[in-house]
Amino acid sequence: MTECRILQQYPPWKVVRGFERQDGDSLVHLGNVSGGIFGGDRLRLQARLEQGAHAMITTSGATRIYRPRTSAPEAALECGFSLGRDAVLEYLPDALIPYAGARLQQRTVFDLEDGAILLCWDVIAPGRAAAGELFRYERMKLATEISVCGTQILNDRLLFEPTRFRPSAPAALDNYRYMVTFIAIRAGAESTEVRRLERQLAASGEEMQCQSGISEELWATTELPAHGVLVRGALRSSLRIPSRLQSLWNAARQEICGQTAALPRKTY
Amino acid sequence: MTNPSPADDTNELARLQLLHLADSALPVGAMSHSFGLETMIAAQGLQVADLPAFFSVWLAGTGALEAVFCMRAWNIEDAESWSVLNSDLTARRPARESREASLSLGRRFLRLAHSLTGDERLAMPGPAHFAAAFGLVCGTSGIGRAGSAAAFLHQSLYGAISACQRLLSLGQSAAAALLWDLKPRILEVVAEAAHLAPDDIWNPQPLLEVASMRHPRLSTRLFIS
Repeated sequence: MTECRILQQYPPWKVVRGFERQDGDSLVHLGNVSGGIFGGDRLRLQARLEQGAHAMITTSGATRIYRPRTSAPEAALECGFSLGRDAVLEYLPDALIPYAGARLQQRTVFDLEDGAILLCWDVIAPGRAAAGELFRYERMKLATEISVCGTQILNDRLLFEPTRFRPSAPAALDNYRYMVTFIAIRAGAESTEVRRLERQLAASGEEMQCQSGISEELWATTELPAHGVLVRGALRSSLRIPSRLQSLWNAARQEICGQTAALPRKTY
Repeated sequence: MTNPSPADDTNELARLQLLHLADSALPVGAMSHSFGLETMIAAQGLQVADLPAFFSVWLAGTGALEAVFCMRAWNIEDAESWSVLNSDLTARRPARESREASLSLGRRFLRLAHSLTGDERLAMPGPAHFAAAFGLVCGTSGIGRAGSAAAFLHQSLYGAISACQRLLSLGQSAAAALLWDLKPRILEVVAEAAHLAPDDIWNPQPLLEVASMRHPRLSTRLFIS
Protein backbone atom coordinates (compact mmCIF):
# COMPACT_ATOMS: atom_id res chain seq x y z
CA MET A 1 0.00 0.00 0.00
CA THR A 2 1.28 3.48 -0.89
CA GLU A 3 0.86 6.39 1.49
CA CYS A 4 1.11 10.04 0.37
CA ARG A 5 3.23 12.23 2.66
CA ILE A 6 3.38 15.96 2.02
CA LEU A 7 6.61 17.41 3.37
CA GLN A 8 6.03 21.02 2.28
CA GLN A 9 3.45 22.87 0.25
CA TYR A 10 2.91 26.55 -0.42
CA PRO A 11 0.22 28.38 -2.43
CA PRO A 12 -0.73 28.42 -5.21
CA TRP A 13 -0.23 24.66 -5.18
CA LYS A 14 -2.18 22.40 -2.91
CA VAL A 15 -2.38 18.62 -2.80
CA VAL A 16 -6.12 18.04 -2.62
CA ARG A 17 -5.58 14.64 -1.02
CA GLY A 18 -4.02 11.27 -1.59
CA PHE A 19 -6.89 8.93 -2.44
CA GLU A 20 -6.26 5.31 -1.67
CA ARG A 21 -7.28 3.16 -4.60
CA GLN A 22 -8.41 -0.43 -4.94
CA ASP A 23 -5.06 -1.88 -5.89
CA GLY A 24 -3.27 -0.10 -3.05
CA ASP A 25 -1.77 2.79 -5.02
CA SER A 26 -2.25 6.42 -4.12
CA LEU A 27 -4.03 8.94 -6.35
CA VAL A 28 -2.88 12.50 -5.74
CA HIS A 29 -4.81 15.48 -7.10
CA LEU A 30 -2.62 18.51 -7.39
CA GLY A 31 -4.61 21.73 -7.33
CA ASN A 32 -3.51 25.24 -8.21
CA VAL A 33 -5.65 27.60 -6.16
CA SER A 34 -4.89 30.52 -8.48
CA GLY A 35 -6.10 28.44 -11.42
CA GLY A 36 -2.90 28.94 -13.33
CA ILE A 37 0.53 30.51 -13.59
CA PHE A 38 1.22 34.25 -13.69
CA GLY A 39 4.15 36.04 -15.32
CA GLY A 40 7.26 35.70 -13.16
CA ASP A 41 5.87 32.77 -11.13
CA ARG A 42 8.34 29.99 -10.41
CA LEU A 43 6.45 26.85 -9.39
CA ARG A 44 8.39 23.81 -8.20
CA LEU A 45 7.05 20.34 -7.53
CA GLN A 46 9.30 17.61 -6.12
CA ALA A 47 8.03 14.10 -5.48
CA ARG A 48 9.87 11.00 -4.35
CA LEU A 49 8.42 7.50 -4.76
CA GLU A 50 10.08 5.10 -2.40
CA GLN A 51 10.90 1.53 -3.37
CA GLY A 52 7.81 -0.32 -4.58
CA ALA A 53 5.47 2.67 -4.17
CA HIS A 54 2.76 3.25 -6.78
CA ALA A 55 1.33 6.72 -7.33
CA MET A 56 -0.82 8.45 -9.86
CA ILE A 57 -0.42 12.22 -9.89
CA THR A 58 -2.83 14.37 -11.83
CA THR A 59 -4.05 17.94 -11.81
CA SER A 60 -7.58 19.00 -10.99
CA GLY A 61 -7.91 20.88 -14.30
CA ALA A 62 -5.99 22.50 -17.13
CA THR A 63 -3.05 24.71 -16.17
CA ARG A 64 -3.64 28.21 -17.52
CA ILE A 65 -0.62 30.31 -18.36
CA TYR A 66 -1.87 33.86 -17.89
CA ARG A 67 -0.87 36.94 -19.84
CA PRO A 68 2.08 38.46 -17.93
CA ARG A 69 2.89 42.11 -17.29
CA THR A 70 5.29 43.33 -19.96
CA SER A 71 8.12 43.58 -17.45
CA ALA A 72 7.49 40.19 -15.80
CA PRO A 73 10.11 37.52 -16.40
CA GLU A 74 9.26 34.23 -18.06
CA ALA A 75 7.15 31.99 -15.81
CA ALA A 76 8.72 28.70 -14.80
CA LEU A 77 7.14 25.37 -13.97
CA GLU A 78 9.67 22.84 -12.68
CA CYS A 79 8.63 19.32 -11.74
CA GLY A 80 11.03 16.67 -10.51
CA PHE A 81 10.12 13.05 -9.85
CA SER A 82 12.44 10.51 -8.33
CA LEU A 83 11.37 6.87 -8.58
CA GLY A 84 12.91 4.27 -6.29
CA ARG A 85 13.47 0.66 -7.25
CA ASP A 86 10.29 -0.96 -8.67
CA ALA A 87 8.22 2.17 -8.01
CA VAL A 88 5.43 3.03 -10.46
CA LEU A 89 4.52 6.62 -11.35
CA GLU A 90 1.65 7.64 -13.57
CA TYR A 91 1.95 11.39 -14.09
CA LEU A 92 -1.12 12.52 -16.00
CA PRO A 93 -1.51 16.30 -15.88
CA ASP A 94 -4.23 18.15 -17.77
CA ALA A 95 -3.32 20.42 -20.68
CA LEU A 96 -1.29 23.60 -20.58
CA ILE A 97 -3.36 26.48 -21.98
CA PRO A 98 -1.26 29.53 -22.78
CA TYR A 99 -3.18 32.83 -22.90
CA ALA A 100 -2.29 35.65 -25.28
CA GLY A 101 1.14 37.04 -24.48
CA ALA A 102 2.04 34.15 -22.14
CA ARG A 103 5.62 32.97 -21.85
CA LEU A 104 6.61 29.85 -19.94
CA GLN A 105 9.49 27.50 -19.49
CA GLN A 106 8.38 24.08 -18.26
CA ARG A 107 11.00 21.54 -17.16
CA THR A 108 9.92 18.07 -16.09
CA VAL A 109 12.61 15.70 -14.83
CA PHE A 110 12.23 12.01 -14.04
CA ASP A 111 14.95 9.91 -12.38
CA LEU A 112 14.27 6.19 -12.34
CA GLU A 113 16.05 3.45 -10.42
CA ASP A 114 16.14 -0.11 -11.69
CA GLY A 115 12.73 -1.73 -12.20
CA ALA A 116 10.82 1.56 -11.89
CA ILE A 117 7.96 2.23 -14.29
CA LEU A 118 6.93 5.61 -15.65
CA LEU A 119 3.80 6.37 -17.67
CA CYS A 120 3.26 10.04 -18.34
CA TRP A 121 1.75 12.46 -20.79
CA ASP A 122 1.85 16.10 -21.70
CA VAL A 123 -0.65 18.19 -23.71
CA ILE A 124 -0.16 21.70 -25.02
CA ALA A 125 -3.11 23.68 -26.33
CA PRO A 126 -2.86 26.54 -28.84
CA GLY A 127 -4.55 28.96 -26.45
CA ARG A 128 -8.16 29.66 -25.53
CA ALA A 129 -9.47 27.92 -28.63
CA ALA A 130 -13.15 28.39 -27.80
CA ALA A 131 -12.61 32.15 -27.79
CA GLY A 132 -10.71 31.99 -31.08
CA GLU A 133 -7.46 32.88 -29.33
CA LEU A 134 -5.00 30.65 -31.20
CA PHE A 135 -1.21 30.86 -31.00
CA ARG A 136 -1.28 34.33 -29.51
CA TYR A 137 1.08 33.39 -26.70
CA GLU A 138 4.63 34.67 -26.84
CA ARG A 139 6.70 31.58 -26.11
CA MET A 140 6.42 28.08 -24.64
CA LYS A 141 9.55 26.09 -23.88
CA LEU A 142 8.87 22.52 -22.81
CA ALA A 143 11.76 20.35 -21.59
CA THR A 144 11.35 16.71 -20.59
CA GLU A 145 14.39 14.95 -19.18
CA ILE A 146 14.44 11.27 -18.22
CA SER A 147 17.32 9.38 -16.64
CA VAL A 148 17.49 5.70 -15.82
CA CYS A 149 20.04 4.57 -13.25
CA GLY A 150 21.97 7.81 -13.77
CA THR A 151 22.06 7.71 -17.58
CA GLN A 152 19.95 10.23 -19.44
CA ILE A 153 17.79 8.60 -22.13
CA LEU A 154 15.71 11.61 -23.13
CA ASN A 155 16.30 15.34 -23.22
CA ASP A 156 13.43 16.63 -25.34
CA ARG A 157 13.29 20.41 -25.68
CA LEU A 158 10.36 21.75 -27.68
CA LEU A 159 9.93 25.41 -28.56
CA PHE A 160 6.72 27.11 -29.67
CA GLU A 161 7.22 30.80 -30.41
CA PRO A 162 4.53 31.85 -32.90
CA THR A 163 5.92 35.27 -33.83
CA ARG A 164 9.36 33.83 -34.61
CA PHE A 165 8.49 30.36 -35.89
CA ARG A 166 5.19 30.20 -37.79
CA PRO A 167 3.02 27.47 -36.18
CA SER A 168 1.47 26.52 -39.53
CA ALA A 169 4.87 25.72 -41.08
CA PRO A 170 4.96 22.07 -42.20
CA ALA A 171 7.65 21.05 -39.69
CA ALA A 172 6.19 23.08 -36.80
CA LEU A 173 2.51 22.19 -36.28
CA ASP A 174 1.27 22.41 -39.87
CA ASN A 175 -2.54 22.64 -39.65
CA TYR A 176 -2.72 20.94 -36.28
CA ARG A 177 -3.27 22.88 -33.06
CA TYR A 178 -2.55 20.55 -30.16
CA MET A 179 0.64 18.64 -29.42
CA VAL A 180 0.50 15.56 -27.26
CA THR A 181 3.34 13.43 -25.89
CA PHE A 182 3.01 10.07 -24.18
CA ILE A 183 5.96 8.25 -22.64
CA ALA A 184 6.18 4.69 -21.29
CA ILE A 185 9.36 3.48 -19.59
CA ARG A 186 10.36 0.42 -17.60
CA ALA A 187 13.85 0.81 -16.22
CA GLY A 188 15.77 -2.29 -17.17
CA ALA A 189 13.44 -3.41 -19.96
CA GLU A 190 15.10 -5.66 -22.54
CA SER A 191 15.22 -4.39 -26.10
CA THR A 192 12.74 -7.07 -27.23
CA GLU A 193 10.24 -5.82 -24.64
CA VAL A 194 10.75 -2.22 -25.78
CA ARG A 195 10.23 -3.18 -29.43
CA ARG A 196 7.05 -5.04 -28.56
CA LEU A 197 5.76 -1.99 -26.69
CA GLU A 198 6.74 0.23 -29.62
CA ARG A 199 4.82 -1.99 -32.06
CA GLN A 200 1.79 -2.04 -29.76
CA LEU A 201 1.67 1.74 -29.34
CA ALA A 202 2.41 2.36 -33.02
CA ALA A 203 -0.56 0.14 -33.91
CA SER A 204 -2.76 2.16 -31.53
CA GLY A 205 -1.50 5.38 -33.12
CA GLU A 206 -2.18 4.15 -36.64
CA GLU A 207 -5.66 3.01 -35.69
CA MET A 208 -6.45 6.42 -34.17
CA GLN A 209 -5.08 8.16 -37.27
CA CYS A 210 -7.20 5.97 -39.55
CA GLN A 211 -10.36 6.66 -37.56
CA SER A 212 -10.40 10.39 -38.16
CA GLY A 213 -7.92 10.87 -41.02
CA ILE A 214 -4.44 12.30 -41.15
CA SER A 215 -5.75 15.83 -41.66
CA GLU A 216 -7.30 15.61 -38.18
CA GLU A 217 -4.60 13.82 -36.25
CA LEU A 218 -1.09 12.56 -36.82
CA TRP A 219 0.62 10.00 -34.56
CA ALA A 220 4.14 8.66 -34.42
CA THR A 221 5.97 6.29 -32.11
CA THR A 222 9.64 5.71 -31.47
CA GLU A 223 11.91 3.63 -29.29
CA LEU A 224 14.03 5.74 -26.99
CA PRO A 225 17.75 4.81 -26.78
CA ALA A 226 16.80 2.29 -24.08
CA HIS A 227 14.07 1.27 -21.61
CA GLY A 228 11.00 2.74 -23.30
CA VAL A 229 8.97 4.42 -25.96
CA LEU A 230 7.80 7.93 -26.84
CA VAL A 231 4.57 8.63 -28.73
CA ARG A 232 3.84 12.03 -30.19
CA GLY A 233 0.57 13.24 -31.66
CA ALA A 234 -0.56 16.42 -33.36
CA LEU A 235 -4.31 17.09 -33.47
CA ARG A 236 -6.62 19.72 -34.91
CA SER A 237 -9.20 19.37 -32.17
CA SER A 238 -8.98 18.73 -28.44
CA LEU A 239 -12.13 16.62 -28.41
CA ARG A 240 -10.44 13.30 -28.99
CA ILE A 241 -7.35 13.91 -26.84
CA PRO A 242 -8.66 12.32 -23.60
CA SER A 243 -9.79 9.12 -25.33
CA ARG A 244 -6.56 8.93 -27.36
CA LEU A 245 -4.38 9.30 -24.30
CA GLN A 246 -6.43 6.76 -22.37
CA SER A 247 -6.06 4.32 -25.24
CA LEU A 248 -2.26 4.71 -25.30
CA TRP A 249 -2.06 4.60 -21.53
CA ASN A 250 -4.16 1.46 -21.40
CA ALA A 251 -2.10 -0.30 -24.07
CA ALA A 252 1.18 0.61 -22.35
CA ARG A 253 -0.09 -0.39 -18.92
CA GLN A 254 -1.25 -3.74 -20.24
CA GLU A 255 2.10 -4.37 -21.87
CA ILE A 256 4.29 -3.20 -18.99
CA CYS A 257 2.22 -3.89 -15.86
CA GLY A 258 -0.16 -6.57 -17.15
CA GLN A 259 -3.11 -4.47 -15.94
CA THR A 260 -5.55 -2.13 -17.59
CA ALA A 261 -5.47 1.56 -16.71
CA ALA A 262 -7.85 2.78 -14.01
CA LEU A 263 -8.96 6.31 -14.70
CA PRO A 264 -8.43 8.89 -11.97
CA ARG A 265 -11.64 9.96 -10.27
CA LYS A 266 -12.52 13.11 -12.19
CA THR A 267 -14.57 14.17 -15.16
CA TYR A 268 -13.17 13.69 -18.68
CA MET B 1 63.74 35.43 -45.98
CA THR B 2 61.73 33.35 -48.43
CA ASN B 3 58.02 32.77 -48.30
CA PRO B 4 57.01 29.18 -47.50
CA SER B 5 55.66 27.29 -50.47
CA PRO B 6 51.93 26.53 -50.41
CA ALA B 7 52.73 22.86 -49.90
CA ASP B 8 54.48 23.67 -46.60
CA ASP B 9 51.64 25.74 -45.26
CA THR B 10 49.83 23.63 -42.68
CA ASN B 11 46.79 25.91 -42.87
CA GLU B 12 46.53 25.31 -46.60
CA LEU B 13 46.79 21.58 -46.01
CA ALA B 14 44.11 21.79 -43.30
CA ARG B 15 41.84 23.67 -45.71
CA LEU B 16 42.27 21.00 -48.35
CA GLN B 17 41.56 18.31 -45.80
CA LEU B 18 38.43 20.15 -44.70
CA LEU B 19 37.22 20.27 -48.31
CA HIS B 20 37.74 16.53 -48.48
CA LEU B 21 36.06 15.75 -45.14
CA ALA B 22 33.02 17.89 -45.94
CA ASP B 23 32.65 16.50 -49.46
CA SER B 24 29.41 14.64 -50.09
CA ALA B 25 31.44 12.06 -52.02
CA LEU B 26 33.19 10.95 -48.82
CA PRO B 27 32.25 7.25 -48.53
CA VAL B 28 30.40 7.31 -45.22
CA GLY B 29 26.85 6.95 -46.58
CA ALA B 30 25.53 10.44 -45.82
CA MET B 31 23.60 10.60 -49.09
CA SER B 32 21.47 7.60 -48.07
CA HIS B 33 19.82 9.47 -45.21
CA SER B 34 17.12 12.13 -45.24
CA PHE B 35 16.65 12.47 -41.43
CA GLY B 36 12.86 12.61 -41.76
CA LEU B 37 12.73 14.77 -44.90
CA GLU B 38 11.43 11.89 -46.99
CA THR B 39 8.34 11.58 -44.76
CA MET B 40 7.96 15.37 -44.60
CA ILE B 41 7.72 15.40 -48.40
CA ALA B 42 5.88 12.13 -49.04
CA ALA B 43 3.32 12.35 -46.25
CA GLN B 44 3.44 15.71 -44.46
CA GLY B 45 3.15 18.18 -47.33
CA LEU B 46 6.60 19.83 -47.49
CA GLN B 47 6.92 21.54 -50.88
CA VAL B 48 9.63 23.36 -52.84
CA ALA B 49 8.23 26.76 -51.85
CA ASP B 50 8.59 25.85 -48.16
CA LEU B 51 12.28 24.93 -48.38
CA PRO B 52 14.02 28.29 -47.71
CA ALA B 53 12.04 28.87 -44.50
CA PHE B 54 12.22 25.19 -43.56
CA PHE B 55 16.03 25.09 -43.72
CA SER B 56 16.42 28.46 -42.03
CA VAL B 57 14.39 27.19 -39.05
CA TRP B 58 16.22 23.85 -39.21
CA LEU B 59 19.46 25.76 -38.73
CA ALA B 60 18.05 27.51 -35.64
CA GLY B 61 17.10 24.18 -34.04
CA THR B 62 18.78 20.97 -35.15
CA GLY B 63 21.56 22.89 -36.88
CA ALA B 64 22.45 24.89 -33.76
CA LEU B 65 22.38 21.75 -31.62
CA GLU B 66 24.74 19.92 -33.97
CA ALA B 67 27.02 22.97 -34.16
CA VAL B 68 27.25 23.05 -30.35
CA PHE B 69 28.19 19.37 -30.21
CA CYS B 70 30.61 19.68 -33.12
CA MET B 71 32.41 22.52 -31.33
CA ARG B 72 32.39 20.72 -27.97
CA ALA B 73 33.97 17.63 -29.55
CA TRP B 74 36.60 19.74 -31.30
CA ASN B 75 39.03 19.77 -28.36
CA ILE B 76 38.06 16.56 -26.57
CA GLU B 77 41.08 14.47 -25.65
CA ASP B 78 39.88 11.64 -23.40
CA ALA B 79 37.53 8.73 -23.94
CA GLU B 80 35.37 9.51 -20.92
CA SER B 81 34.52 13.06 -22.05
CA TRP B 82 33.88 11.66 -25.52
CA SER B 83 31.46 9.07 -24.14
CA VAL B 84 29.59 11.66 -22.02
CA LEU B 85 29.29 14.02 -24.99
CA ASN B 86 27.86 11.38 -27.31
CA SER B 87 25.52 10.01 -24.66
CA ASP B 88 24.21 13.55 -24.14
CA LEU B 89 23.51 13.97 -27.85
CA THR B 90 21.84 10.54 -28.01
CA ALA B 91 19.30 11.66 -25.38
CA ARG B 92 18.51 14.75 -27.46
CA ARG B 93 17.49 12.72 -30.53
CA PRO B 94 14.19 11.03 -29.62
CA ALA B 95 13.46 9.64 -33.10
CA ARG B 96 15.20 6.28 -33.42
CA GLU B 97 15.98 6.46 -37.15
CA SER B 98 17.58 9.91 -37.02
CA ARG B 99 19.51 8.97 -33.89
CA GLU B 100 20.81 5.74 -35.42
CA ALA B 101 21.63 7.49 -38.71
CA SER B 102 23.72 10.06 -36.86
CA LEU B 103 25.52 7.31 -34.94
CA SER B 104 26.11 5.19 -38.03
CA LEU B 105 27.54 8.09 -40.06
CA GLY B 106 29.65 9.25 -37.12
CA ARG B 107 31.24 5.86 -36.56
CA ARG B 108 32.01 5.42 -40.27
CA PHE B 109 33.38 8.95 -40.54
CA LEU B 110 35.65 8.47 -37.53
CA ARG B 111 36.92 5.11 -38.79
CA LEU B 112 37.68 6.57 -42.22
CA ALA B 113 39.43 9.64 -40.79
CA HIS B 114 41.47 7.43 -38.47
CA SER B 115 42.60 5.28 -41.38
CA LEU B 116 43.41 8.35 -43.54
CA THR B 117 45.36 10.26 -40.90
CA GLY B 118 46.71 7.50 -38.67
CA ASP B 119 46.05 9.88 -35.78
CA GLU B 120 45.52 7.78 -32.63
CA ARG B 121 43.50 10.58 -31.01
CA LEU B 122 40.69 9.49 -33.34
CA ALA B 123 40.63 5.95 -31.94
CA MET B 124 37.77 6.87 -29.59
CA PRO B 125 35.69 3.92 -28.38
CA GLY B 126 31.90 3.68 -28.19
CA PRO B 127 29.10 5.56 -29.91
CA ALA B 128 30.06 8.51 -32.13
CA HIS B 129 27.53 10.97 -33.51
CA PHE B 130 28.33 12.49 -36.89
CA ALA B 131 28.52 16.08 -35.60
CA ALA B 132 30.82 15.08 -32.74
CA ALA B 133 33.02 12.92 -34.96
CA PHE B 134 33.33 15.77 -37.47
CA GLY B 135 34.35 18.20 -34.73
CA LEU B 136 36.90 15.80 -33.26
CA VAL B 137 38.51 15.06 -36.63
CA CYS B 138 38.67 18.75 -37.54
CA GLY B 139 40.19 19.60 -34.16
CA THR B 140 42.98 17.07 -34.60
CA SER B 141 43.58 18.26 -38.18
CA GLY B 142 44.26 21.88 -37.26
CA ILE B 143 40.98 23.18 -38.64
CA GLY B 144 39.42 26.03 -36.64
CA ARG B 145 36.58 25.40 -34.19
CA ALA B 146 33.93 27.63 -35.75
CA GLY B 147 35.03 26.69 -39.26
CA SER B 148 34.54 23.02 -38.40
CA ALA B 149 30.97 23.60 -37.26
CA ALA B 150 30.20 25.77 -40.30
CA ALA B 151 31.58 23.09 -42.63
CA PHE B 152 29.56 20.43 -40.85
CA LEU B 153 26.33 22.39 -41.20
CA HIS B 154 27.16 23.15 -44.82
CA GLN B 155 27.63 19.49 -45.70
CA SER B 156 24.47 18.58 -43.72
CA LEU B 157 22.45 21.11 -45.71
CA TYR B 158 24.04 19.95 -48.95
CA GLY B 159 22.93 16.40 -48.16
CA ALA B 160 19.41 17.50 -47.18
CA ILE B 161 18.98 19.68 -50.28
CA SER B 162 20.30 16.86 -52.43
CA ALA B 163 17.65 14.60 -50.86
CA CYS B 164 15.03 17.22 -51.76
CA GLN B 165 16.23 17.14 -55.38
CA ARG B 166 15.53 13.41 -55.46
CA LEU B 167 12.13 13.77 -53.79
CA LEU B 168 10.75 17.01 -55.24
CA SER B 169 10.77 18.99 -58.48
CA LEU B 170 13.82 20.93 -57.36
CA GLY B 171 16.24 21.65 -60.19
CA GLN B 172 20.00 21.89 -59.89
CA SER B 173 20.15 25.67 -60.22
CA ALA B 174 17.39 26.19 -57.66
CA ALA B 175 19.13 23.77 -55.29
CA ALA B 176 22.42 25.59 -55.72
CA ALA B 177 20.74 28.95 -55.09
CA LEU B 178 19.05 27.59 -51.97
CA LEU B 179 22.33 26.42 -50.46
CA TRP B 180 24.11 29.61 -51.53
CA ASP B 181 21.52 31.80 -49.85
CA LEU B 182 21.76 29.82 -46.59
CA LYS B 183 25.51 30.34 -46.15
CA PRO B 184 25.23 33.63 -44.20
CA ARG B 185 22.65 32.00 -41.93
CA ILE B 186 25.06 29.10 -41.29
CA LEU B 187 27.67 31.58 -40.08
CA GLU B 188 25.15 33.38 -37.86
CA VAL B 189 24.03 30.11 -36.26
CA VAL B 190 27.62 29.00 -35.64
CA ALA B 191 28.50 32.38 -34.10
CA GLU B 192 25.51 32.09 -31.75
CA ALA B 193 26.13 28.41 -30.98
CA ALA B 194 29.72 29.16 -29.92
CA HIS B 195 28.33 30.81 -26.78
CA LEU B 196 25.52 28.37 -26.03
CA ALA B 197 25.24 25.24 -23.89
CA PRO B 198 23.25 22.28 -25.25
CA ASP B 199 20.33 23.08 -22.92
CA ASP B 200 20.06 26.54 -24.52
CA ILE B 201 19.02 24.93 -27.81
CA TRP B 202 15.32 24.26 -28.41
CA ASN B 203 13.57 22.41 -31.19
CA PRO B 204 11.06 24.55 -33.14
CA GLN B 205 10.29 21.72 -35.64
CA PRO B 206 8.48 18.98 -33.69
CA LEU B 207 6.84 17.58 -36.80
CA LEU B 208 10.23 16.93 -38.40
CA GLU B 209 10.96 14.63 -35.46
CA VAL B 210 7.50 13.09 -35.94
CA ALA B 211 8.31 12.59 -39.63
CA SER B 212 11.47 10.71 -38.71
CA MET B 213 9.46 8.52 -36.31
CA ARG B 214 6.97 7.72 -39.08
CA HIS B 215 9.61 6.99 -41.73
CA PRO B 216 9.90 3.22 -41.04
CA ARG B 217 6.21 2.91 -41.93
CA LEU B 218 6.34 4.65 -45.31
CA SER B 219 5.34 2.17 -47.99
CA THR B 220 8.07 3.22 -50.45
CA ARG B 221 11.39 4.57 -49.23
CA LEU B 222 14.40 5.96 -51.08
CA PHE B 223 16.35 6.69 -47.91
CA ILE B 224 17.44 4.70 -44.86
CA SER B 225 16.20 7.43 -42.52
